[in-house]
Amino acid sequence: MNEAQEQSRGLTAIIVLAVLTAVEYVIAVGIDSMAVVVTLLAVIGIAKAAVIIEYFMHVSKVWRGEGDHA
Amino acid sequence: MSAAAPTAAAHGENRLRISRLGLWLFFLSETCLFGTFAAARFYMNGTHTPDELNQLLGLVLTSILLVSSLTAYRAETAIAHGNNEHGRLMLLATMVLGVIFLSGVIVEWSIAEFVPSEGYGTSFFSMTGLHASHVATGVFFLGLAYLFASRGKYSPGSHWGVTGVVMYWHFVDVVWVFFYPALYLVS
Repeated sequence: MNEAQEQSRGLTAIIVLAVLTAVEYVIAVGIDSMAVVVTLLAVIGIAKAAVIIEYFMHVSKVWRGEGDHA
Repeated sequence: MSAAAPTAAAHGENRLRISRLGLWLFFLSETCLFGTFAAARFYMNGTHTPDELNQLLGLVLTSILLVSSLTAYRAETAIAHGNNEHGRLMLLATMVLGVIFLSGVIVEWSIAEFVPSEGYGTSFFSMTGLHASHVATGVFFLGLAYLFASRGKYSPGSHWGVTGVVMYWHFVDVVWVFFYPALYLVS
């Protein structure tokens, strides 16, 4: 993967995170049921963390060499 | 001599893997720390959140931290591809966003209409304070990475210093991903 492709991948990840954050806010403001809000926020939080850990922190590449960045 | 070179390279690779594993273990221990604070928030206050909490400021702070994750990612990617100039620019942008985030936290503390000695205030100030101290640490180490990058210490084959700092920055972002709804949105 070249630099432009990697940068594009990062941009996609941040767009997903922005959308999920907006959804979080709408859920918190728009839904009255506490149980539903807490459940949905927990699920979205885990999804956002998974995106950051995989796309930004490269968890699946922990055992690769430094030259294998892409 | 020819046999020593591959051995040295293998040693370097092994050291890198151990460094990465060490960093992930550090994240694991930090997760326990932050998790304890989040659990204490719900144990002490349930899902109560004061109405006077500034929701807009919370959303803005979250957005700033998310954008800083992108600039940090771009810095690491650029340096990993030998584009040091762009990498340094993105490191600088990440530091600026970190400082803006910290300034926002200070503003929030100054306008908060609850005190640290009451239930929610205890959780709010301790959680945001603990997180802000990690952001400040991240800004410091990003500064060091910027300094080393300026001196040409990193190359596509050797940039663990940047990668480690950027991973730490992303971890701080992950923490906020859970702290933000726990402090602001659950009510």
